[in-house]
Amino acid sequence: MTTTDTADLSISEAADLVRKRKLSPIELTEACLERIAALDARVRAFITVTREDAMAGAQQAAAAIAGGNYKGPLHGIPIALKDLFDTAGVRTTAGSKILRERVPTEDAEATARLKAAGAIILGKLNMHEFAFGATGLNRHYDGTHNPWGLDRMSGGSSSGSGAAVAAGMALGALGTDTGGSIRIPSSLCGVTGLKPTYGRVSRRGVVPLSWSLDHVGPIARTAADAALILKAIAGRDAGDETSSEEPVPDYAKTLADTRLKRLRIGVPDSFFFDNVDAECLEAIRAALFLLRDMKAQVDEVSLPHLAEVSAAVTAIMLPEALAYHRRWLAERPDDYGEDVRGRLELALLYPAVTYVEAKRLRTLVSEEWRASVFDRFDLLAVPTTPVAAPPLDDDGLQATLTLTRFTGAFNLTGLPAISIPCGFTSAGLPIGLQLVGRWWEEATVLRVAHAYQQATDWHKRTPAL
Amino acid sequence: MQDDRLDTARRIAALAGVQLAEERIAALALALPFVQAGVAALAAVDYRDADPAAPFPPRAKATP
Repeated sequence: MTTTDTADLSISEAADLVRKRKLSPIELTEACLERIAALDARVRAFITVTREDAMAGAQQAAAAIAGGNYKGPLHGIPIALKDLFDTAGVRTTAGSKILRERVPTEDAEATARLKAAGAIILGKLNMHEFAFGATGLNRHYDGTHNPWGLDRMSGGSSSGSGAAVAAGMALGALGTDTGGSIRIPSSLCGVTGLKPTYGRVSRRGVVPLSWSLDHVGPIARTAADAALILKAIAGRDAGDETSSEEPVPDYAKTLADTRLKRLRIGVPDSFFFDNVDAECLEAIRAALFLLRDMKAQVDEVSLPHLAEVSAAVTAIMLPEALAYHRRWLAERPDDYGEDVRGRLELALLYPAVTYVEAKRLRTLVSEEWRASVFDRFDLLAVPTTPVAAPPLDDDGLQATLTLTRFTGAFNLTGLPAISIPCGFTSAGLPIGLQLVGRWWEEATVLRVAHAYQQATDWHKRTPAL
Repeated sequence: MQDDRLDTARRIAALAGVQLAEERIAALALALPFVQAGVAALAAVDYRDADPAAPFPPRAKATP
């Protein structure tokens, strides 16, 4: 197996080889580091590559496994982190100038859990500044380029996470998602990204954007790989009061059942299919036909309060972001990129009563969707984004509005949502299908995504870089 | 009307303790209709007894 092939393995494939001692974590980590060295000057997926730490970790993992101390499927697997996750002794910039030299003394909880599972941390990934935008453009660290078209946006805010996995620089990554920031780069870069239920994964040690909407989750090549990462990072953390006591299933085991008979999938009858690019629409429809052929029951559904959902997301996200940034905005406004500064200033205009109404809408929508939608349907299926990757020189503000149109509703409601590749445009750009489950039922979301990936090969395609 | 918007934007920024140059006040004033549309949309909802701090629903007992 060449190093090029090695970097293209899924986590599940690599873990099987590592467990059987047919592949060393050292070889695997070297393959990813070589890929980073060869490609990242063009892709710009990383802000910091921790080569020495990664190789030391790989050597430790190799020794432990050789000694019979295999920890599980992430042991010796190279993974990278969005530069929003604290890493003890390694700078965590949040993609910003303001935090450029910040070096945390402790790991984020998700970082610590990955390390405890034996994962090798390759470095810190590029992102939209302070996670406050969906394009991945970043004036401080150069924007991330989409591996499927270097003149295209990678999507964001977890831009480096999507691009690094797509380009084979890491076998998996962590991202965060406040309005779509895991699912959008996953869709645009042709990989699989899961935003779990709000509270499923601790956010302790993650630089916040909006406490009410922030989620942590995996980006990987397959749903099976996302399941392995989620299992490692999910569960209650006493250091994050929003993290849940809900039991964490063994997601990998629940994937085994790929039968979709009796599964009920709802397709919204409005909004999510308005003003969608024709090629994207065709791919989504083909995916829905395939799910129906796989014996799922696919029917239209009406989602209450969709007209107010986007306003509520904005009315929560902007004031909460401003609350975190207000001092820096007053003292160091020129250290922000223009788009982020503009959004923070816009937040000044939101009345407190509107913020509270938006929080009330979150409760109202959740109750009504639980009672009138998820009583009849196990999943919703919608496009992740209305368009494929926009050109890098498109207007960033408009691109963010467009790219977040179909994702923010599931941040407001906290529902688990995954983006999986379901086709390509004639220009060779990936298209993403979004599957949304009931609260805490990531297992169903992952199981259906896995079943779809057993029947298709969109997720196996790799960009020619 | 434009003067009203400029004055509104200037006063709100000052209340929050953020000093903005006049060109940035002008940009904010232009964005006021966007914010007002969102404010109006959320003000028109009948929230009944919705609690803004309610947790999300727990896992359903029966799953497929």
